[in-house]
Amino acid sequence: MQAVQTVMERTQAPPDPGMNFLARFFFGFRRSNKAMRLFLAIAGPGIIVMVADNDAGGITTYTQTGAMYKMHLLWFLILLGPVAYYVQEMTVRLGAVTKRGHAEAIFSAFGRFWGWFSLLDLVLTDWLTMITEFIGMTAAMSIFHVPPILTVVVVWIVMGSMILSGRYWTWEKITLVFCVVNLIYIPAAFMVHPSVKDILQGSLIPHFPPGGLTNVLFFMLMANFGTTIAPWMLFFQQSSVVDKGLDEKDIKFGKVDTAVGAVLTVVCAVVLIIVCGTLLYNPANPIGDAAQAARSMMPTSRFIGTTFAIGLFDAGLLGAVCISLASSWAFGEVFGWAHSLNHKVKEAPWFYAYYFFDLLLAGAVTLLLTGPAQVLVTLFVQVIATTLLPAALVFLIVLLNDKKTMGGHTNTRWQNIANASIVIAIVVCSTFYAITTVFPNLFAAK
Amino acid sequence: MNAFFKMSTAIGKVPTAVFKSLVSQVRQVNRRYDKPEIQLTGATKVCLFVLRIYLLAMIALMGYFLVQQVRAIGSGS
Repeated sequence: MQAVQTVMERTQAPPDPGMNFLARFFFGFRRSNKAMRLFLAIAGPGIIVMVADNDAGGITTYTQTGAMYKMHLLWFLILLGPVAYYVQEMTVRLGAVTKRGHAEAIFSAFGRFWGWFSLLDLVLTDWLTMITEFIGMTAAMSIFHVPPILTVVVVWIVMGSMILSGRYWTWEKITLVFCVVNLIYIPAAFMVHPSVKDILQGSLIPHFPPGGLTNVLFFMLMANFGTTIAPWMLFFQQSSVVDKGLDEKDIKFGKVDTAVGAVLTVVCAVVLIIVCGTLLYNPANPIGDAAQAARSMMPTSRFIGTTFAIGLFDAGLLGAVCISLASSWAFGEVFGWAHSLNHKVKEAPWFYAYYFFDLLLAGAVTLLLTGPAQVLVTLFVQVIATTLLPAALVFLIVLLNDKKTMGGHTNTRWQNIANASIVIAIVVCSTFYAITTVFPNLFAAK
Repeated sequence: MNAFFKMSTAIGKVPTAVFKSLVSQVRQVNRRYDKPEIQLTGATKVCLFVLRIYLLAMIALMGYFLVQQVRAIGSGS
């Protein structure tokens, strides 16, 4: 980070008051240029975590949202962008100031009970989510008649080779390429010629679809909420910030990185809803999952169906990479193993062993699971994730208010009000979500 | 036969050694993080207590859900 530091020092120097207009303009341009270079050097964790948030499960959720409610819920997804930013931005500050990952921070601050609870819950959720990513990837590739076993083996090889470079930088740049592939849906949104009036109405005027707030709509809103903020994201981004070596002075750019990621994730979600709302809108018989959506789009446009399938595969791959790393980092931090992507396999054997163990086991189990068991795993992941989320968020806010550790980077009063409101909303909604998942007919009209 | 016995014993020792190493590492972690570092205010303590109860309820809910789903898969419905 030495070069980054030098660039930062230069960019922060004030212009000479005696400069003429042209000199000031040149100085401003040079400063912006350097700031941009600095941002590009620091950017990564925020964009990756936010784009990876649109994983295979997320794509399915957005597909169903579009197919059931057309553009009526676009405003809700747009609102979720700032919520995700506010939560993830805290991990940037915490990681940059403490130089500790989220798991280690919870262990040190709250002791072993909460530490083990968070770690084991994270590991279980991550592993089950990995299975759902593999399910998504195999389903996407089955559209191209690729057998599941071949997909799983190729994913093992790709994910394995991505992290074996021994450099965080290399891993990050490869992952950013996969993030760019995630934007593959954007051209499809223009190709389907959606109604601009519907998009504007759905985005700018908060309203419920015709029929009002029903049990199914509530379930869908919560599913969208659950895919936007997930527990692994907190662990991943904080550990990633630490592994990258970001410092207190990089927090400003880390926040911008997270904000850019939040915008990208919302854009992807909105585009998916527009495409599915235009092509697959059928509230009476909605689409079951993203792979089915891709198949249904093939007769209308082979290009859109193909891009949809590629996007689903990419989303699953991106999610699997990040989720697997989140667990490996967490274990490394807590057990005191060497746990950096800057280490070679020989230097951090346990870290890499856990990553591969997680990867191989999730892939192998996916191949063994039958249809009903896959549905069970997918549902169970949602319930466990909603259980961990309130706990993880409460810990995050308490940690961000610890003046002894955070110094001048503690939450301000307004940040606490905003974050506490988010946590309360999440606790209330996720509890309802978990209850309605377990008892689907509890709130149904009799 | 003797060589096979020796080899299988050696292979059998690997998981045992890994397990023992993990147990000792868990003990070390428990010792290292025995006492919470953070100064907890009264409000935070209450918050953590409520969180504990909430999580217990949610875990019970998950357990019920899992049993219910596994039964449904078992009965083929």
